[in-house]
Amino acid sequence: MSDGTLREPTFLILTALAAGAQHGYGIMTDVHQISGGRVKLRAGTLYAALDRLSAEGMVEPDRDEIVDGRHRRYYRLTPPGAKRLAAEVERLRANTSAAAARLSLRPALAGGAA
Amino acid sequence: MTGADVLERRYRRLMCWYPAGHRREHEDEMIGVLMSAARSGQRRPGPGESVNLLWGAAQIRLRMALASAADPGWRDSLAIVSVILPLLYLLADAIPPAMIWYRDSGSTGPLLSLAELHGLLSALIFSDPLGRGALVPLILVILVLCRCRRAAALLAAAVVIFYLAYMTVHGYYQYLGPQVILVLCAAALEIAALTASPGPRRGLQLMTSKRWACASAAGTAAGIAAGLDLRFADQFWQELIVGVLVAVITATMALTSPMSRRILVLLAAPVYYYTILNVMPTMGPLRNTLTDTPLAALILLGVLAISRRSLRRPGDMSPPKADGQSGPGSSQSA
Repeated sequence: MSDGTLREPTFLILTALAAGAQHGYGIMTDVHQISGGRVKLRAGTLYAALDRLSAEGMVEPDRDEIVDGRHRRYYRLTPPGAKRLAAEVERLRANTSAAAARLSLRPALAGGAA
Repeated sequence: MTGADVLERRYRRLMCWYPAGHRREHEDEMIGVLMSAARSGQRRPGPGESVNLLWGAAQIRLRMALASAADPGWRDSLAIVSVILPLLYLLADAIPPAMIWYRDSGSTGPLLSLAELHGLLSALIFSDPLGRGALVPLILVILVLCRCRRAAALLAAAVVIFYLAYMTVHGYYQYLGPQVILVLCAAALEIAALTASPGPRRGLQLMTSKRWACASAAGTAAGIAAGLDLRFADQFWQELIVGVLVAVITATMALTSPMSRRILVLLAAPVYYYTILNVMPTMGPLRNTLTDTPLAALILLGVLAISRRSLRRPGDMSPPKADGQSGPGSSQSA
């Protein structure tokens, strides 16, 4: 498993799966929602990421369903995937805390908008 | 045919760019996602969507290729190739000049005199104006058999550097022909085999008597085949015999084990160039066509594609459990 920084789409896919298993289209719409409409995953990006995350043991297939004649496969976060996401959250939290602390020292921002 | 059917057919056409294993596992699922995300009345994939699918396919293919390179089976095959290739190189470079020397020297007895031995060694070592001959492969074989991996890799690298420097000084176009491509190709493969595998030590461990026999048979056949024009006046019979010989060796290796098939794939490029250049001397314009780089690359890619069928391992995305736990409320489908 890679220990580097997670790219945003990967981070958002793992976040979408953190609360429970989801199928491909569910992940796409959830990522769109989580990112406040900023990130719109396409199928090619999603499945390339799922392929890599599966190979790295961070996600795994959960179950299959047929809905309206269409095949749906659900994916879930594995324990190593959850650990990796938690580590990334901690890293981002530390960075944002440091950034906020430094910004608070600036007089123009400390009292509100410049 | 409805608009949705047309759109699905076009999506499936784009899915052809994905690896076969990935398509088997995920095509229907991806089509479902693409169709769910499609606009109402959409009849063809948008340009951005098409590019995204092709990029996704390229990423998956690259990951699979890198995973294959890290596969212990491939690493072991490369280790064997690191031993076999210098031996083939030596045999192929030594036998033809040895046979020419034998023909021209008029030697009759089984034992060589000192002068004859000197003549033979000179023929072997200085048989080529570009400095090839059997000296370099001989040193390479000694280094490999002594398990001197780093020194062997440096020597192979020196061959590549020498050729590139020679061509730079004397003009690329004059020398950059299939014969030079063959040497560069073999040297580059040897460098890769020595650096990307556990090396000749592992290769020699894996070289069972059967593999040694196969390597010896293939090497001797290649070398003798190149010198057959000295024995057979009729080129048709020579090429027929050589063709059958190469086919038998290839088929034997292809049928014996996955390891042999991997070795065959790894050796495909140098063996291909060697066969076309040295074993089929009377093919004329056809030979030139077959050694043209784009066509040669296509043929070699074809060999690789066919071989992948028998070399493919189970995909990294394991199939889901068919446990039927798909009851309502058990998911968070969006």
